[in-house]
Amino acid sequence: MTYGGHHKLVGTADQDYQIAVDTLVIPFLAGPVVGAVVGSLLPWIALTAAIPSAPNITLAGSTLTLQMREDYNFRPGTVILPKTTVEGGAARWDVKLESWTEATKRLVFRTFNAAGALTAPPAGVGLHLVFVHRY
Amino acid sequence: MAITPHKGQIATMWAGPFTVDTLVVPCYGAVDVPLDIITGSLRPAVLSAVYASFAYTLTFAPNTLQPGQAVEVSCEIGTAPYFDVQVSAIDLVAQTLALRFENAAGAGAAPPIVGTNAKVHLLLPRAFPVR
Repeated sequence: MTYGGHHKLVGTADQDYQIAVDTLVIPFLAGPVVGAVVGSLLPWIALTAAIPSAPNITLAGSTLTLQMREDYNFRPGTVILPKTTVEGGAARWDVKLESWTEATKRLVFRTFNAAGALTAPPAGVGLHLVFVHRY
Repeated sequence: MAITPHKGQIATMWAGPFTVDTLVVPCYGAVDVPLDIITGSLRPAVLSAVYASFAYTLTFAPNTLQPGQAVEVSCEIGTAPYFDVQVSAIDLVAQTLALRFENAAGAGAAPPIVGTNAKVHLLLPRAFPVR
């Protein structure tokens, strides 16, 4: 076989739809506070009123909230895969999607320690997100 | 503010056919999951979703799961207490995929009940073999 580079389309078993894949990487700094967020989904996150250039992502204790733009529309069947890093030798932790609320356009995640208790994420780690949805 | 939705095409390093499919399986407690509440691009290929021994076992139509099939699984907790989900078995002959529910210690646990809005999210990518 030969590799032809990025030129083949990605299909799906459901041929009536096309699949979109998005990424988002959210670092957590000491505090813990949210660092500079990057990824293809970044343009679909609303901006804060106080700092118009800053995405509206908040971390309050163990609750991480992403305020999406009203345009963004997750649909039934959208898959959201969050994975954690333990960069810098941080303790193992976990993150779970709690909810996507259409009315408020909010994605809410909860963070846990290794014992499954709600705990803020360690400093220095990151949250890697993959979104897969049809359109 | 209007943002142009995703109209671009997704590429891959694999030069041949490649598929990415999704499934979202709502947690239905320790009983079989009704097929009509399952969503995602692979939903038409799901023939049954049976509960036994802390796991939902999905049975797919013939030739759905193939060699090279990867399965990434995650969970949406809703209002349920912490739980985790692991792929505990894939059988390409029987076309079955078992999803085991666990607590934080890795012990088997019953799936969250209806009403918690807990769900299992599955990403199923695969590259077709070169023929």
